Amino acid sequence: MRKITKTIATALGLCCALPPLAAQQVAVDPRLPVYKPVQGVSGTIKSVGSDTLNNLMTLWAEKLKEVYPNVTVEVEGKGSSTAPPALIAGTASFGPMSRPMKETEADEFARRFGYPPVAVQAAIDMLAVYVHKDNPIARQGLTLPQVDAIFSTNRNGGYERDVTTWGDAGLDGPWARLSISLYGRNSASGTYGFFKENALFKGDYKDSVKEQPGSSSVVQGVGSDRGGIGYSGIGYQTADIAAVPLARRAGAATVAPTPATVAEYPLARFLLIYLNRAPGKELDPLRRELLKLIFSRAGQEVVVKDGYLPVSYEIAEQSLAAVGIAIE
Amino acid sequence: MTERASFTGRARRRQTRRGVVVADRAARALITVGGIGTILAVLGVAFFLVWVVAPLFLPAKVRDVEAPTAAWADGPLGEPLHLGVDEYRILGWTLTAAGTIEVFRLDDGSRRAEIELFADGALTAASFLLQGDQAVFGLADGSVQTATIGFASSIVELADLPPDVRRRLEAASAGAAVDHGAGVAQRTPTGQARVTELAAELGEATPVAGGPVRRVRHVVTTNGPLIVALAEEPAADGHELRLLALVGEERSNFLTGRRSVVFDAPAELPFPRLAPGVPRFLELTGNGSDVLLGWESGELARLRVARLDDVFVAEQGRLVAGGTRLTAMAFLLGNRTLVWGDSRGAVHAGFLIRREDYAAAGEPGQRPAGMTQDPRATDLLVDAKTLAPAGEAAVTALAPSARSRLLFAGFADGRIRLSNVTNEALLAEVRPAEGPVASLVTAPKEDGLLALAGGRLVSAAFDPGYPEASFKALFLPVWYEGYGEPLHVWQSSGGTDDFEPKLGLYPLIFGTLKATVYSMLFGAPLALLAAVFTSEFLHPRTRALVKPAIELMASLPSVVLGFLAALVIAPFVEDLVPAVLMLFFTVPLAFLVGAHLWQLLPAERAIRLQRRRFAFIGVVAPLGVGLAVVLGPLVERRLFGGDVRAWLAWEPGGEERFASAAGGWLLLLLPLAALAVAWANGRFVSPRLRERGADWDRRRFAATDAVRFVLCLAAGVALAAALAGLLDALGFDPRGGLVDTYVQRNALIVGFVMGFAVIPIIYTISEDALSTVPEHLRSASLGAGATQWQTAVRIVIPTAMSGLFSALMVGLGRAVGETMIVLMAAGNTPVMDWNVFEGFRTLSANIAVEMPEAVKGSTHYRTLFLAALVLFVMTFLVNTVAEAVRLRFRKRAYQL
Repeated sequence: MRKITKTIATALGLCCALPPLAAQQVAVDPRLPVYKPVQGVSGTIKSVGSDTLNNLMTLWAEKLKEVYPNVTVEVEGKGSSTAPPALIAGTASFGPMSRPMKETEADEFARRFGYPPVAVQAAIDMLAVYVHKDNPIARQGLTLPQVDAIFSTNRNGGYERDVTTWGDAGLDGPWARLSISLYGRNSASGTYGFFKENALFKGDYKDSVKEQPGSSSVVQGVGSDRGGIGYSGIGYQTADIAAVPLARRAGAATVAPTPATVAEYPLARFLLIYLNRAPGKELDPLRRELLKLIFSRAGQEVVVKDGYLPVSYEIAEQSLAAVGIAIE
Repeated sequence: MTERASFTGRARRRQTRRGVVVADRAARALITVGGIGTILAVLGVAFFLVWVVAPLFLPAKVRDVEAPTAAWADGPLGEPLHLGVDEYRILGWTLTAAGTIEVFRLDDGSRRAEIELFADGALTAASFLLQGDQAVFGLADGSVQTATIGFASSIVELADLPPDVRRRLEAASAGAAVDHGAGVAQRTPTGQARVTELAAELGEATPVAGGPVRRVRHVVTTNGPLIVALAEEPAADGHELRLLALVGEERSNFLTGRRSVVFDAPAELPFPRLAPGVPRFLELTGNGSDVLLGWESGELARLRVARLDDVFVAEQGRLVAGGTRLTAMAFLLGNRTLVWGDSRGAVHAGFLIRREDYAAAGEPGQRPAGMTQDPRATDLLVDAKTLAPAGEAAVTALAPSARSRLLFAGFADGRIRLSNVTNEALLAEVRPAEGPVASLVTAPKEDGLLALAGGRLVSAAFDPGYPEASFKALFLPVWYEGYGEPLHVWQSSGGTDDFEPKLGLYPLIFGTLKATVYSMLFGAPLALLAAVFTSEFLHPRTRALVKPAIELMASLPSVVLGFLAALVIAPFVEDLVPAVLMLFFTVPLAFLVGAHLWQLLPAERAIRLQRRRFAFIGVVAPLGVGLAVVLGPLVERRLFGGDVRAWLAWEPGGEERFASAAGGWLLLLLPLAALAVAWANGRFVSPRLRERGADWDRRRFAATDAVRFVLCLAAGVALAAALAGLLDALGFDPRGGLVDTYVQRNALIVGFVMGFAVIPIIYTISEDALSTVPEHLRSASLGAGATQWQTAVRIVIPTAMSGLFSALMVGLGRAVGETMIVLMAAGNTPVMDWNVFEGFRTLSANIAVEMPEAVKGSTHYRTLFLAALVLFVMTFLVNTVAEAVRLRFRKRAYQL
C-alpha cells in the first residue's frame, strides 16, 4: 500500500515538475525557518478535501515521510466541499479547501464540537481561465464580465449579451464561427464556488458547463477541444492549454496570471487547510510537525515546484499562530 | 410390497432414498430462504431509502415561545433601530434610537451591558448586514460612520476566570450561562469556558452632506463595500434631499494577508421625488448595481448605478395596489430577492430579471402593475411570489434569515409567519402577542427568533426542518431568483451561503431517460440482430468463437469504457463529425450491396464459398467505413455549407450559408424513406417479380434483383430529398429538436459506448433464447420449403419472443442504472433537450458526483437519497411491466 502511494506520489511529482510557471523566478521568502526534525513523530495523516491542493498535500506529506519514516499518508482530493463532512465525521485530520468554509458548514462543525474549525493559509493560487493552446483569445484577453457572460446564465457582471461563440467573445476569422465549449468543476469543488462568486458575480452556471470530477480532467478536456474554455488552479497548467489574461472590468488593463501580478490579478486567492483544534489545546505532534514543515522554506519550495505561489513570512506567522504554534 | 423380479434380476426399491429426501428438503429450504431473503433485502433497501427521505417532508416546528420579563423592557422601549441575537441564543442586543446599545440575556431578560455609542440625538440612521458585523451609521451632522458590532466568543480555561464566576460555572450544568463581565460565560463539553460579549468599535466618519443623514444602507460586493446615504442639505427654503454613494474598493494584500478598503469621494446620485417626504425604505442589490427607494405611500423607484457616470432611474411607479401603503421592505440573503409587505397584509417577493428573458418567456409573471420603465433599462422587477395573501392586519416587520431563503413576517395583529421564499411554502405561524410586531430578527444559526411584539420582547426556538425540499421544489418548475420564468433546474450547491439551492429533480430524471433511450436505440437492434444472425445463420464452429468474444465485451469495467469514451472517442469523433454521421448510412449500404453482389456469383461458386461468407462480411464492413470517410467531407460541403458543427450551432440571423435545414432533414429522413421504400417494394414489387421470375435462371434473377435494388435506393434518396426540401420550404428546422449545437461529450458518444455495456447482455440472453427453440420446429419449417430467413423470422423469433423481451429488459435495466460511463462521458450537464449532440446528467451519475460533499442529514444529502429512491421506483416499474409482458409472450410460446 505504502509502495503504491509512493509510486503515485512520484508520478505526480514528475508530472508537476515539468510544465508550470517558470519556477526559478519565484523565490521563497528567505525569512521562513528551515525545518528542524524532532523526536517521536509517527501515525497516520488523513487529508480529505480540495482537488486543487491534492498534489500539494501529497508532496508535503511525502516530505514529512522522508523525515519520519513511520508516518503513513492518505490523501483524498474530491473537492473542497468534501472537507467539512470529513472533519466533522473525524475521518480526516486535515481538510484542505480552496475556498473559505461557508457559515453553514462551520455551524455543522460547531454543533458537533462546540468550537469553530481553524484555517491556515498554506499557499497562493491564481485561478486561471484556460483555453486551447491555439486559441488567439489567450493573447487578446477577456474581461470578467465577458467571462461571466460565457459561463453564466444570469450575467450578473452586466455584459450586454450572451456569449456562445468565439466570435461573440471578440475573435474573427475561422474562430468566430466556433461555438464555445464549457468545462468546469463539479459543485463539490471550492474552485467551482470561488469562480462562481468572483467571476460569475454569484450568478448560476449555464446548464451546458461540462462538470468534471477533477482539475486535471478540466485541463485535459480544454486541451483536446479546440473551442474549449475552462478554469482551474494555476498549478494545473500544461502545454496543451493557455491561460487567458483577465481584466477586472471593461476598459481596465488585462493581467496574465504570473507570479509578478498576484496583487492585480482578479482571481488570486489563498489555499486553505482547515483543522479541528480545540481552542487553547496543543496540537498533536504529527499535525504540528506537518504544519511546521508546510510553513518552512522546504515546504514552500514544494509549493513553487507545484506551480503555485509561496506565502510570505507574515502569513506563515499568522497561520501558525492560529493553531498555537510559534514560528522560529 | 410385492417383490417382482426385474429383467436385470435386481429388485427395484419403490422408496425414495433417505439421502435424496434430505437433499430435496434442504434444497427446498435453501431456495425458500434465499428467495424470501432476496425479497426482504430489496424491501430493506426501499425501506431505508424511504426512511432517509421521509424527514424532508416533515413540517417545521416553532417551540419555547417565551417572553423574558426584563426590567428595562417594561419601560417605553420605542422602536429600536436594530435587534440582534448571538449565535448560541443566550444574549440579545438592541440599538435604541437614542444611540445606546443594550445587551440583555434572552432567558431572564436581565441587562448585561449598556454601551453609549452616540450622544442622544446624534444618531439618525443605521444599516446592518444579515451576515457579518459591519454596520454603517448615519449621523445628524451629515456624516456616515462605519462600525463593527457583533458578539465575540472566546474559549478560556476555567482557571483563568474570576473565582466567583468559576464557582458558579462549576455548579451549573454544562451549557448553562453565568453572568461574567459584560456578557456571559458557559461551560463547554471540553471542560473549558466560552465567554461571549458584545464588541462594538466605531470606525471612521466621512462627511457627505450639510444636514442629518436620514437613511443609510450598505452592501459588500465582490469588489468592495458600497454605502448609499439619503441626507438633508440645508437650502434657502428649508432643506432638500440628496442621495449620495460612497464606493469602496477592497484589495487583498497577499504578503500580509490583510484586506484594505479605499473609498472614493462621495458621488451624487439623482434623487427621484416620486412622493412627498423622506422615503421610508432604502435598499441596495447585492452586486451594488441598483438602489431602491420605497415610500410608505406605495411608490418605488429603482436607480441603475452600475456605472456611476451614467446613473438613471430604471423603473418607477407604484409597487403596491392603489389605496394600500408599503409597510415593510427588505432584501433576502444575497440581496437579490426583494420582499415587501403592505398595509393589507400581503407579502410579496420579486427580483430583477433581464428584459429579453422576460420577453422570451412570453411575459409569464405579473409585473407590479403601476411600474413604468426607462427604455435604457436592461432588466425589470417581477412580482414573482406571494408569501401571504392580503388579509386584514398590515405587515409590520420582515426578518430574513442569515443562512437561507427563510423569511419571518410580523403582522399588526401579533401573528408571525415563517415561509420559505424559494418555493412559497408556509412553514409555521404563531401568535405570541396581541399587539403589533414592531421588530423581528432571526438568530444567526436559523434556530430561533427574537421579536418585539405588543411592547414586549418575545423569543422562540424553531426548527425549520428541510424547507428547501417540498414537492413543488423537487418536481415542479420553480421561479428562481434572476431567472426569466419558472423552470426545472438542478444546481444543488454553491460556494457561498447566499446561494439559492435549486433542487429540481426533473432534469436528472430526464437525463436518465435520455441516456437509456439513446443507448438502447444504438445497442438493442445491433444486439438482437447479432443474436439472430449467430444462432440461425452462422456455422456452429464460427458461432463457438463469436459468442464468447462478444461476451468478453461485458467483462470490460464500465470505468474503462467511460474513460475511453471521454478521452479517446469523444475528441476523435469531434474531429470527424461528418464521417461518423455517414457511417450510419454507408455501413448498412455496404452490407446490402455486398449481399446483392453475392447473389450475382455463379451458383456453384457461391455454394463452394458459402463457408467463407462470414469472412466476406468482414471485408465489406471496412469498405463501408472507408466510403463514410470519403463521403463525409463531400456531404458536409454539399449539404451543410462546409461546416457541419457551424451548421448545427446556427441560430436564426446567423450566416446565410448555414440557414438551409434541407441537409439535416435529408439525413434524418433517409432511414424513414428507406423503410417506406422497402415496405412498398415488399408489398408491390417483390410479389410481381417472384411471379414473373419463377422460370428465370439464377443469374438473370439476380441481375434483375440488383437493378431493382439500385432503383429502390434511388427512390429512397429521392423521397427523402423531396420531403426534406418540402419541410425546409415550409420553414421547419430539425435544429432545436433532435439535433442542435454539437458538444464534445454527448448522447451519441454515450449511446455508442454504453452499447458496449448493453450489447453483450442483450446478445447473450437472446442468443440463448433463440438456441433453445426446439430443433423440430426449425426442421419442420425448412422441410416444408421455407428458406432460412423465413424460418428465422416466422418460426424461431416468435417462439423465442419471451426470452428476447427479457434480454431487452435486462439491458434496459443496465442502461438506466449505469453510472461510470455517463459520469465520465456525458459531461454531466443537467440540460433538458433531446439533442443527440448534447450531454445530460443522470440520477446515478449525480449521486456519485455529489454524495461526497453532502453533509450527512442535510437537505442535500436527503435529496440525493430521494434521487436514489426515484431511480429505484423507475427500475421497479420497468421490471414489473417487463415481467408482465414477458409472461404473456411465454404463454403464447407454450401454446405452440
